[in-house]
Amino acid sequence: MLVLNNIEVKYQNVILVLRGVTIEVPEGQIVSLLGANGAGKSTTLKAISGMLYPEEGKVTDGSIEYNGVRIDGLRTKAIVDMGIVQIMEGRRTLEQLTAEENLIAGAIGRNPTRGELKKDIDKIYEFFPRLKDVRNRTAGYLSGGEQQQLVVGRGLMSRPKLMLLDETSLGLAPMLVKEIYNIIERLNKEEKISLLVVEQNARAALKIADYGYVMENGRVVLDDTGPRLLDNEDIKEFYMGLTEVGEKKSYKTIKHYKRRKRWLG
Amino acid sequence: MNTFIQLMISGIAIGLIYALAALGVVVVYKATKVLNLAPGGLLLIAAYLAWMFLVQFKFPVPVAIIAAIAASALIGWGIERVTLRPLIGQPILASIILTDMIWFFFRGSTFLFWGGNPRMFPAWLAGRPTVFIGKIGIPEIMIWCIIISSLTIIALMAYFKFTRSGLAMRVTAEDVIVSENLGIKITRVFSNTWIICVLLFLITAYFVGAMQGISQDLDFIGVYGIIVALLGGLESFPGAIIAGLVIGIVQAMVGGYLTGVLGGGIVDTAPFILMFFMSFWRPYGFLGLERIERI
Repeated sequence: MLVLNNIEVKYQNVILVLRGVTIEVPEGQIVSLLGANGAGKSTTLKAISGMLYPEEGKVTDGSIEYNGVRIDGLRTKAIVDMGIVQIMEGRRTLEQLTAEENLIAGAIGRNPTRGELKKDIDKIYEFFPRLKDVRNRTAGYLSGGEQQQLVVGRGLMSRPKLMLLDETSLGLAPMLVKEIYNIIERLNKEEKISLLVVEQNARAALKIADYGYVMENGRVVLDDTGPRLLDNEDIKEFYMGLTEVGEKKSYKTIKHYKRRKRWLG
Repeated sequence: MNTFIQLMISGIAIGLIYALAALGVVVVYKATKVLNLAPGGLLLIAAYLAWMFLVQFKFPVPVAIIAAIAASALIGWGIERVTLRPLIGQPILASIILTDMIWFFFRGSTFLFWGGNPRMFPAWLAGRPTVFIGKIGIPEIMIWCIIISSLTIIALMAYFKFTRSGLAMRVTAEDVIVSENLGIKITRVFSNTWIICVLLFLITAYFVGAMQGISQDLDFIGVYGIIVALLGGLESFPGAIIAGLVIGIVQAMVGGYLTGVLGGGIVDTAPFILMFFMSFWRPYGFLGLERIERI
């Protein structure tokens, strides 16, 4: 469905952020993208959704294809119309607007009829019942979890076929992370939306993922199916903080320096 | 008492005119974050266009008004498309200075085309009689001004609240990046704001032209538009309306009671004096936008 072929991204023509990233998101699957801060995960998503240019970034090499059509270099609007929507990092709700207006804003781009719009909003309320209760409240005053649900719901309003989630779990309580990920899984199963999930929370992301990529310093260093990545010693050690036996690490026996990453970073 | 009511009504009428001009500034500022310094020029070109279709071309009244609306919309669209869009992403100061240039461009071009002689709207618009309610004489044009300005303001509010392009505008006003991300065409939002802006000045131009004739001096009203917008808080519609009314009423009262003592110049100076003291009391204007911060 979506293929990133060896892409290279530069900011302001000098800063090389991604080098030779190749990622594939097959139809109907959940693919997760892991990595530490500054690894280039968000940049990858922005490259797909066409949101690089506000930061003066550009795909300088390679290609991004969506169902066989090249989309690198297209404007965000065109990409959203094709059915790819990015949920940006950091709960970007429109604070002065009400929750429902936020949802409608997500649909403006494709200009639906009144009936369609109503049906779509009801569907969002079905997935996120909490939003129905707060529909007329100003979005800026909603709780963190509600805002995150609202932002995901707003993205759904554009009727995407592929959703790019950028650190959806950031700053949420573990309970809420679980809840959101349950809904995300349901979206994938029931609505047949393919997902590319960027996460720091490796366990949450890999649990639902069919396939995963690990990024470091702007390149993909490891990729495998979700369950196998969950089992991978390196992932356990560096992303989940577990020892080889699978127990939580204790600071007493820490020997971080002994284990080397077994990939080329 | 009669004088007071008379002054009050003319103050409200003038105040609403200022409010409309200020809304032209606020609309553009909210959506594009560009402080629009062009009101003077926009008011001039709108007034001369309105006059041209009505008097120079002698179109029937409805046709002339529709033509003026179309021409103003075209100018608004053109300003955004030709001058401001290439500057998207450049320092905002460049855009602001550019709007200043637009002012002088229209000031010059109206002088070039229509010369310096004052022009008058036809009698049905400019020569309205004064109506008397008891002993209070009110120029009819002021009553029309109050009615139509209020309707315009209500329509504008409804447009932002209930239509999709209005919502798109509010989204863009709040966060350009999110609005791009959601697939909203921000270039269209920008040109819409400029179209609305020039249309507001067209309405202003009809009434100002009817009250004081059309000449190069009109752009002073436009300057009041900027002052009122700043006084109202630059990002707030109610703020602009309140500030417009305050300045209009203060000007009318000062004109009615103080010109004998302080001379005629005080009428034009009063708003600036008010502005000066306001900046001690509330430097951010009457109603700045409420910033939401969860605790």
